[in-house]
Amino acid sequence: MILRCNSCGGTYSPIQRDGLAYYHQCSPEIIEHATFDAAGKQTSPEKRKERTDVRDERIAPGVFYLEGKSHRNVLVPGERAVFTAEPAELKIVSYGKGCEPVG
Amino acid sequence: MATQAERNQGAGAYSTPGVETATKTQPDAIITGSPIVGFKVQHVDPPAALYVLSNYALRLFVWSSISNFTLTVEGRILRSDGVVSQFRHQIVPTGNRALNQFFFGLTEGFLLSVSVGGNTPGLTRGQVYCELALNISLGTNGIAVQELAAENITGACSLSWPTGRMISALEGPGNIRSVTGTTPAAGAEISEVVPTNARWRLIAARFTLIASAAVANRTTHIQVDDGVNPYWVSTFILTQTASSTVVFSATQGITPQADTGIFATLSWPAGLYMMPGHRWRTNTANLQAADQYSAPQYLLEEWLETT
Repeated sequence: MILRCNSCGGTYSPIQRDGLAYYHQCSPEIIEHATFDAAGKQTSPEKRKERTDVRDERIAPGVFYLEGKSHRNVLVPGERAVFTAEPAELKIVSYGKGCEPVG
Repeated sequence: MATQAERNQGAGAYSTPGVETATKTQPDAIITGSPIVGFKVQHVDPPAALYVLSNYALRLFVWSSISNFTLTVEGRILRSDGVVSQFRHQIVPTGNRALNQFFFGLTEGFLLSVSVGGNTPGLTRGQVYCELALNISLGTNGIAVQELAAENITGACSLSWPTGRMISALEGPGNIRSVTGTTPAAGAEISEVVPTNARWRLIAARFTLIASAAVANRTTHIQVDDGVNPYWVSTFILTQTASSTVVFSATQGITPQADTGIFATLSWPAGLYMMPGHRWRTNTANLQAADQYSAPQYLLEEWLETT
């Protein structure tokens, strides 16, 4: 299966040939390309700005699985370093505009 | 002067040349003695030093980058009634490199042995790491009172106690992977990121830039950053003109070279270790809107970051 990222337009396979998952992350910049005339003289400069809708499929750090269910350590109220495991949804770092299968 | 017996013993100057004599050994001396130590034949003491109570548990931590495989936990315990009891559990950890915690209750007695193994063909070193400990009480609120073993699991290597060892997931060779990255949209840069709970050593990469007909001199840089700040940049020593294709190959510790604009090499430092969230990217001067980078193909060594 091939996915297309709706944030950056990149295409990728979510599963590699070795069976391991691939975690797509958008290129962090949007490029406003420089232009040149036929003689090669620059007519407008290149500008780069930060992409604000980055899709980052890495799993968000801090989640662990307890007997197969995802959890996160939560600080016990009133304690400085005592944590308790609370059920938590597994999330990716940022969804951006999502992705869709293209092949 | 050789004797008659020496001349006829087989080889050498005194006998038939080229004929080896048979090896001669003296009969072994038989040494015996009365044992000093006596052994019980009844009410024998247990052979293991690890006495556990019924509120103890085995705590197994697993990190895995591969999905859909089963780990088998097997062991033996000498119960208080003198019976050796065997136990067996099967677990399926997630393949997203996150920590998986499992707890297995024990009965009172002497723990004799434990093994944790996976029978998945092709399971290679660096894909699965396990850590086994003895816990008082089940669950994350229990107290780990003794680390038992920690090992990188492969199809041929199990975690084992008491005969196993205690190693870090970062010790020794990792998993060698060939990764196909994202094909960027036209006019966009390549950007590849190290997944959560992974450590990479980048070995080699190959990608292509097909320049459109738009007039411009492109210069490809390869840069490595910590997710924000670049800490290494390598530069294509020529420029790429309109309607041309350059194949870039990058590896560690070489001097960037290029022929007449068809093939070029870029470099990064030898032993480049990248932590979770670090990226390697292209950064191209004068990249045009219809220029197209291919999906990068790159070789790396990966370890599990067991944080």
